[in-house]
Amino acid sequence: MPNLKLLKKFSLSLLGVLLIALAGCAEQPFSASLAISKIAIPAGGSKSIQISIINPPDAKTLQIGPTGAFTFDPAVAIVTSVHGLNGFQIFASSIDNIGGKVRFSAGFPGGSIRPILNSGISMIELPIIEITFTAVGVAGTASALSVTSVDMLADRNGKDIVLTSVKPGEIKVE
Amino acid sequence: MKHIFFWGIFFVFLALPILATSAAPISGDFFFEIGLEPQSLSDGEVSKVDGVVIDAEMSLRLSLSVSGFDLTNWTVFSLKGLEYEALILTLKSPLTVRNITIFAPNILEVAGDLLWTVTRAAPDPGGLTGLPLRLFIHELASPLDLSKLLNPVLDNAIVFRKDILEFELTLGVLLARLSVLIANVSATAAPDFRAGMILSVAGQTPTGTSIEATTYFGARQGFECFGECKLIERFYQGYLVEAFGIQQEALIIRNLQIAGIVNDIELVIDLANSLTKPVSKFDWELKGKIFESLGFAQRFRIDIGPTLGQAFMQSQLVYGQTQLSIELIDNDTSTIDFPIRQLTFSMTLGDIRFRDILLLQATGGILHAIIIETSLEFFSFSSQTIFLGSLISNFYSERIDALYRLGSVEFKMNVLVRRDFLLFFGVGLGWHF
Repeated sequence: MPNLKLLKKFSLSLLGVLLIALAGCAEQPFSASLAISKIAIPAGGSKSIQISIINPPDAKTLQIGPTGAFTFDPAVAIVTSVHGLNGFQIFASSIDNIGGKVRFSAGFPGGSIRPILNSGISMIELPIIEITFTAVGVAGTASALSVTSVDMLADRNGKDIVLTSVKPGEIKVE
Repeated sequence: MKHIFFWGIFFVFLALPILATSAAPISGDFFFEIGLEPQSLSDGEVSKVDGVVIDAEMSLRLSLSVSGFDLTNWTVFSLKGLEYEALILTLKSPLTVRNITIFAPNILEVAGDLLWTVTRAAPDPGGLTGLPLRLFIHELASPLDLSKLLNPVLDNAIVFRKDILEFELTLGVLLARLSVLIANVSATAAPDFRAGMILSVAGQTPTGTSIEATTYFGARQGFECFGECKLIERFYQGYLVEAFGIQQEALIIRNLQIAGIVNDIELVIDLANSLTKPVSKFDWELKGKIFESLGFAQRFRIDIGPTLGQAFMQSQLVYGQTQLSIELIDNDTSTIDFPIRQLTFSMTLGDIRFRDILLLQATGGILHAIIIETSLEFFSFSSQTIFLGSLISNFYSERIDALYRLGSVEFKMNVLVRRDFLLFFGVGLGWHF
C-alpha cells in the first residue's frame, strides 16, 4: 500500500522544484566565458597553454577566425601546434608566426562540453584547446595571450552561446 | 546473414530464461534498453519533426549453480549484433577460484585517478587516449556521448580481450588473494598480450581494524572496460602495463580507532616512478563525534594521475538525518589552489532525500543543483534540477530517473532535458528470473 502522506510530501517538493525551474527558464540566454592559462617557459623550451570554457552549456563549436584571432608576440614565443582537448577536435587551423596570430575552427563531434557534477570531482571550467609554444625570446621577456574576437561559440543544438569575456593569459620566458 | 545469425542467437538467449523457470539451478536477468537523442538532420537546431540517434541494447545474465560451482555468462547485444561476452566460472571450496574470460571488440584501460584518465584505447576511435572518462560518465552527460565516441570500433570482430584468474584463501583472520591477468591490447587482428599479477593479503586485528597490503606486478590501480564501457563491462582488477615489474604497492587500513576517531587510510606507492611520482594516491578519512548528536567526517585525497595530479578535501557535519559538507577540489595540482568549491546540504525525511549542491569555481563558474530522491519497495525516483551561471535563474537541465517494479519485472525511464532541447530519453525493461 503506497504511503499517501509520503507521496503528498514528495509531490509538493517536486512541484516546488519545477516551479523554480520554470522561473529559471524565463531568463536571458546562457552566457559563458573563456580563460587562457598563464605559463612560464624556459628559454628555447616548449610548453602548452590551454583555452578553457567557463560555465559551458553543452558547448559544441568554437571558431576563432577569420575575423577574430588568438594573438601572441612572436618575438617571445612561436606556436608549433594546436590541439583539441576533452573531446574537442581542431577541424582547421592557421598559424601565423610572423604576425603572431592563430585562427582555428574546433568542435566536439557527436557530443558537447558541459559541467561535470560528480562525487569527488566536479568542474565548471573545462580546457578545450591546447596551443604549444616554443620560446624564442630571451629570459625575462613576456607576451600577453588574448583573443581579439570569437567568430562562433554554439551549443549542441546550434544555438549561440553568449560570450561575456575572454580572460587573457600570459607566456613568460624564464 | 550476420543479422539472421544475430537474431537467431538472440531468440535462443531469450528462450533460455523461459526454460530456466523450470530448471532450479539457473537464474539470471534480462534487460532491454533504448536510448534516444534528437539530432538535427539539417545540421542546425533540432526542429519539431527531425532526426533521432538510437542506441538499443540487450543484456542477459545467466547463472548456473551446482554444489559449490557457479557458471555465469554476461552477454550484451546491440543493433549490430553481439558486442560483449564475459564468462565467469567460480569454484567455492576452502580455496575459492574464479576465472573471468572477456570477449569484446575493444579494450579501454583507465587509471584509478579522480578523472579516470584513459591510458589506452585499443582500437582508439580517435583522441580517446588521455581523455578523462569522468567527462562522459556522470549525471549531466548524455549516456550516448561515450557510445557515439566509441561507435567506430564497436562493429569490429569480437576477440579475446582479457582473462582474470583469481585465487582466494581464508586462513583464520587472514585473507590472501592472487589475481593473474592477461589482456589483449591489440588494435589490429593480430593479438598483443600483456600479463600482470596482483597479490593481496588482508587481516583483522582483535580491535576490529582491518589491514590490507596489495602489490601490483605489471598492472596498476584502475580498471579496464569493454564495449560501451557500461557498468557490467567494467572490471576493477587494475589495468595492465608493458613492463611486468612491480608497479605499485597499496596499503589500506580501515576502522583504525584513535582517541574515539575512526580512521580509514589508503596509501598507494608508485614503485615504477618512485623518483618522479613516489605516491599515486593518498586517501585519509576521519570520522567521529563532536557531541553526542553531532558527528563529523574529514577526508583528504591526493591522486597523481598519468598526466595531472588532483587533490580533494571534504569536511562534513552530520546531525541526525541532516548533513552539511564542504568539498575543495584541485583538478591540477601543478599549482595547489583548490579552485573548485562545493557546498552540499542534504536532508532525509522519511523515504525522501533532498540534496542542495552549490558548486563554485574561482574563475567565475557557478552551478546550483537541487536533487530529490526516493526509493520505495515498488518505486524509485530521482529528480535533478540544475542552474548554470547563477543561483536560481538560468535553468540549465532537468534529469528524471524512475524505476517501477512489478514482481520480477521492472520498468525504467530516464529523461534529460536542457532548457532549449531534449538531450536524452531512455526506456528499459528488466526481468529477473
